[in-house]
Amino acid sequence: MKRILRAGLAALAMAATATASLADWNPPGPIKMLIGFRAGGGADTQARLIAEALEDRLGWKIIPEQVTGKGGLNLAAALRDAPSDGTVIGLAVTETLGYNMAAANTDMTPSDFTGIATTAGFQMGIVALSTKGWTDFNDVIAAAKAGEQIRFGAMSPKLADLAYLLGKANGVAFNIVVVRGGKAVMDGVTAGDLDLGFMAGIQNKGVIAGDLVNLASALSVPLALSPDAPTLSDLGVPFNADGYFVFIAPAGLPEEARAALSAAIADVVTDESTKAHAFISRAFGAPTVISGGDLSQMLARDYDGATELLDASAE
Amino acid sequence: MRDRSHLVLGLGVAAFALLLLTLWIPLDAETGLIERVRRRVSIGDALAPSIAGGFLLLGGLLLALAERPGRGTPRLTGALLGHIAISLAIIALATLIMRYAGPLSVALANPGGAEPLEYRLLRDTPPWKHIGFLLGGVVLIAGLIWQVERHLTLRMLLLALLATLAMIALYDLPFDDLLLPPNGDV
Repeated sequence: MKRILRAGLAALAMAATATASLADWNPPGPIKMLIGFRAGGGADTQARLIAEALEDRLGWKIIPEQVTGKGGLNLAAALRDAPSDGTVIGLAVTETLGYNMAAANTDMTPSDFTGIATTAGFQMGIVALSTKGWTDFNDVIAAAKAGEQIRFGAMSPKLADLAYLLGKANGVAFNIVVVRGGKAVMDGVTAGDLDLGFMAGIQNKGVIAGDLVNLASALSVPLALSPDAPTLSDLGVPFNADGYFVFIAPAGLPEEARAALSAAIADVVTDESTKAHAFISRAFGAPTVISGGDLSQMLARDYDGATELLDASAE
Repeated sequence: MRDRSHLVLGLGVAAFALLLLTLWIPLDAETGLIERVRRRVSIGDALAPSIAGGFLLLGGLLLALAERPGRGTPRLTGALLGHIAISLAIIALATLIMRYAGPLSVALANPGGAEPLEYRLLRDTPPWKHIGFLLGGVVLIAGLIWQVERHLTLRMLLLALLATLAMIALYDLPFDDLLLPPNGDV
């Protein structure tokens, strides 16, 4: 029995030394990668392509597992109590640790987690069919003021709050419809069940083809594809939907593990030869890697800022 | 003596449903039947299990109060209850072995060893990852064969071993990301 055990340890040690030139740290066992998104969607595909590349490059063993629901909070709850040795990580969105955590009746805060790295940001726009005849969001406000009932699709409570504040700031009321996922908003808009809605990059192809139009940027900056579309602050709302896909681990992750995981993920998503890079570029615009202290600060800032948004939209 | 098996079974189910509705769901579900989040009413965590509990209660009461045993309905005898109890005991024993045989083997192979070694870290490394599934699977299949046949031969044990190995070949070998029980939960 001891011989088998030693053989197992030797195999682990060999795997470790073989990749020592790539990273100073190696996981002590297989890594469980929790994915907070439904299987087969864009976020899930992204996570699995990154896992595949990490396995190929570093010899690490990664076992993906879906933990969906409650805007990522189910994933966060599962991750919080997991061992903090780099063998359990999760892919969520920054909104999970920000607005969703602040709005929910939970004792979790971002300090229960270690941010590893973001992989991509959202090109979050407010989008309608071009056949509507609207060119930017001011046309929507004019239509609402003229008495048209506007059905506004959103895929999260935070976005529903932003839609509500957009109406409030401009003296109109929207019929806000919360659906599951950006794909559902796109389907609703395309089918005519919704007049407009938030889309986080999924609209790009349609905008390029001229079928869809970005009426506004829901980010703090203009959209890459539609730089002339007004931002939320231009429309009188001092909040935004800036957000990223982010890998997180439980609090207390050793610094060498955090640095190695972060560097490995960054290498995969920024390397143009990987499938993960190609997919992220196609689905989400381009990879965006934020890690280390910058990421910790951003997560803490998002959580604090969420409280202000909650207060403003509760009025 | 009148057959009271419907009454016993019905009251048992109703008691379980009441326990579910009054203790289990309130203690385990985070939100109520419906949840109000940001001007929006949505389904709470407790709604689906409460509806299921309601149907269980209704079914149990119907069985206890309205249903009468027809001609030819098997009576609920001590022997039948004993059979169910033995089946459940075999399944429970096999589950315990499946869950703990692997961690126990690692602990025994490395008593107070130099390197701190956990089963969790070896849950995808053969042969460790197979120990629990193999032993638990053999005990489950051989136990159920024994219950039916009332004796156990070497041939039956080999059959249980082969069936378990076949399941490992079917689920573990072709799929890289699939873990055999109990390895996904350790």
